[in-house]
Amino acid sequence: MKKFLIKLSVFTCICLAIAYALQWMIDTGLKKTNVSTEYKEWYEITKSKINADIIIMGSSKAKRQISPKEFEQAFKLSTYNLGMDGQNFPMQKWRFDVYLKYNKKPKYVIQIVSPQELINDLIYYNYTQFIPYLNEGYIKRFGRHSLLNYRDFYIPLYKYCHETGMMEAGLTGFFKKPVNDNNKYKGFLSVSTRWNDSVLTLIKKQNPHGKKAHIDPHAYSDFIDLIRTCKKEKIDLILVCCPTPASFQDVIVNRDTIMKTYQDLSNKFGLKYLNYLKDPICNDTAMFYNFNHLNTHGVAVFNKQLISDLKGEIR
Amino acid sequence: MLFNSFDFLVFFIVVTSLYFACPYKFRWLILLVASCYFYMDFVPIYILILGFTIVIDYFAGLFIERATEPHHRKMLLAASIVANVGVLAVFKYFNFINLNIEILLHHFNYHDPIPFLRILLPIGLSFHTFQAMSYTIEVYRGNQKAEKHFGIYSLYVMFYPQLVAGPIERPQNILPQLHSEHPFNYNLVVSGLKLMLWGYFKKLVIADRLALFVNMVYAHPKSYNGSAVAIALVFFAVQIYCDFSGYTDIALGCARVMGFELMTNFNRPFFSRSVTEFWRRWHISLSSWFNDYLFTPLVVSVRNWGKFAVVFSLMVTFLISGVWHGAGWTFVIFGALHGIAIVYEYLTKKFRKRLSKTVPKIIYNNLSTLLTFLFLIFSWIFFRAKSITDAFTIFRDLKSFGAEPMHGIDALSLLHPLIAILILFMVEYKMEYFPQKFNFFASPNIVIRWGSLIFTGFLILLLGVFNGPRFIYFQF
Repeated sequence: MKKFLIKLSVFTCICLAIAYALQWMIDTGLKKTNVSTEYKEWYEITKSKINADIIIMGSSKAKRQISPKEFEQAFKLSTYNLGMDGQNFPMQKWRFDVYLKYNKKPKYVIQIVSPQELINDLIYYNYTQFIPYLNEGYIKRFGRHSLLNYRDFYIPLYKYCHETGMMEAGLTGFFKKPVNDNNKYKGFLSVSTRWNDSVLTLIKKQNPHGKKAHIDPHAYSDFIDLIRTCKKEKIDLILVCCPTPASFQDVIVNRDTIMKTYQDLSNKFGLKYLNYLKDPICNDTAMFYNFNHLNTHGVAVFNKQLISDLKGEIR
Repeated sequence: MLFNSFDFLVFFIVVTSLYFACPYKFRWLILLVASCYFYMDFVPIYILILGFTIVIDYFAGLFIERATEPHHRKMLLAASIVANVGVLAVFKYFNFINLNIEILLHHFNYHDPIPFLRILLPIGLSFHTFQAMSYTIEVYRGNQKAEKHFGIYSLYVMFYPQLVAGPIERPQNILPQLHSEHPFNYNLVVSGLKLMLWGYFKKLVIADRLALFVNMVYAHPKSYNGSAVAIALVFFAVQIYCDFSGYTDIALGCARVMGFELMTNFNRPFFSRSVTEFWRRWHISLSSWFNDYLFTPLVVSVRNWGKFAVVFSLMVTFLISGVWHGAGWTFVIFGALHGIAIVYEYLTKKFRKRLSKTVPKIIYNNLSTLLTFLFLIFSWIFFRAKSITDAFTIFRDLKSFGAEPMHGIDALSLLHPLIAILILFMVEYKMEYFPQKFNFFASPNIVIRWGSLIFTGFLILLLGVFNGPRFIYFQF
């Protein structure tokens, strides 16, 4: 048995060394690919390629509704959209922290808020985008309620088992140049399709008496942390609640209570707060492509209005 | 827990470590507790069903041995078989039988159906009930002494490496091993681990890769043309082989590490030159079980019928074998097809032997292998299809094979499965015709030996599908 254990130890050490080397290669390669729709943005963040004056933060409500190009043309300041599809506020905050680690601090942060922003649900949507970036503090912050956990962090190559073909894509990408185009402009991508109420109908059917949004304590704590960070770094934080179809707003029965939280925070910390939930855009479904997002036409109209309202704030 | 899960790897390491750390006389307890834990990881309450059959068969074995009257011995054996088959009938076949009775009664305008049972099939039920039945039958026949130690007998039924999908062991093979001391044996441990590695390769790299394509086509057969369907049929044949034999290799490897030698369940079945030979190479533990406990007694009991006795016994055996695989008409057809093929081979044995002498051996052998393979993939259409309607849709689609190009399928997506099949073919060909050559895993050169093991592990990680389906034979 002694001979076996010695040989097993040596064999395991060799395997681990190879595994870690491979993991480094695959992570490096993945970051340069389009395997995840977010890899290009993460690559630019961690390679200090952004250094924008205006940062837009939020979920898909930021990513698909706030155009950096419009802001750049209006304010002549470099702008980047860090919005993340399907991700809660703690995840958005984490991405901002990683951004600050590698890039110069922005002058302005526009944080898109909504009744469903301050939640801390299980992270399962597009979670493979985080695989090459677990060493940026992901596991410590999200390991408890993510599909990625300590096993993915400590066991080399284990994390690639979540999706078939990741290792192969990473190894191939290692030998190629970084992908330049992922159909987004500085993290922003609008959708040009017409209004479709199928999901809204389903939501209403599943919640005949409406549903209650909630504020998760961790998410709230992270939000306060964002405010304090911006205060400390002298970053101007602006809270914006984008237009949402009125028919969906009615589903969230405690919408006004949640939005009052943002109002109270903006009053307490002296933040600019713009709430467009009662804007006439919300009554025009031609401006939206689903229950929660503006389409390309709606984005153009809304951004024009938002820029106009921010003219006094952003110089 | 599934063999291809991280939890199982941790379980295996812990159990094996405890096994070797423990004094010999308590090792059966370690294995029994581990096996219970393993089984309960699926549906915990079903351990009671397993416990029920274990208790019945344990006492049946003891009483059969003690009984002197043949009539009493027969009654006790019957009780054991009824209990085991009864459990199978309730959990596996009740709803199928009920459905068909309902359809039949519907024709007679009777509309008061018996409610269906809403229960999950206990995992590995077909395997461990057959293994339990082989014990009481062997005790009855006088080939096996009744096991006095309840713990050892329980472990015989629920030894975790072979609990959920075989091999279906015989008491003469396993019980003595459970009583033996198994000191740590370096060669067995290394051999077992290598076998597990190869099993994982077959399951994760070959079977689950092929499953991606096969599942796509079988889910919507009408959406694909003949060429795609034909490829799916070939892929499924390789998938089911690699899935099941991969599982078996992992099971055998696990057991071998601890010093146990389980029976071989596969012997390169795609090199078979006849369906008869196929069943001597495929799922050997099941085919030998049916041969020893169903076919042979049946053919002896009706031997006065002459040749028809064999024909009758073969058809009954294969129909039951088909039904063993699943409660559905597709499985009945599957079994019937194989029964018909075997009967044909039995009745034409002399003719085919004469024919083989007139045709060059290389042509005859290769043609036989090809025809056997074609028959297998044809019969597996029924095995895999969700219904007879789907099976016939597949047949209809096959008519257009070659007539039009494949559509809706990326040719590059076929590259990985084809590479995997090529690797399998090369390894199996080597094992069939050059068993002593090219043994990279056992090379005297440590660089080649370790290099090939590391490379295989690397291929598993690179090409393996880790979120794939569970083992196909678990559903039986």
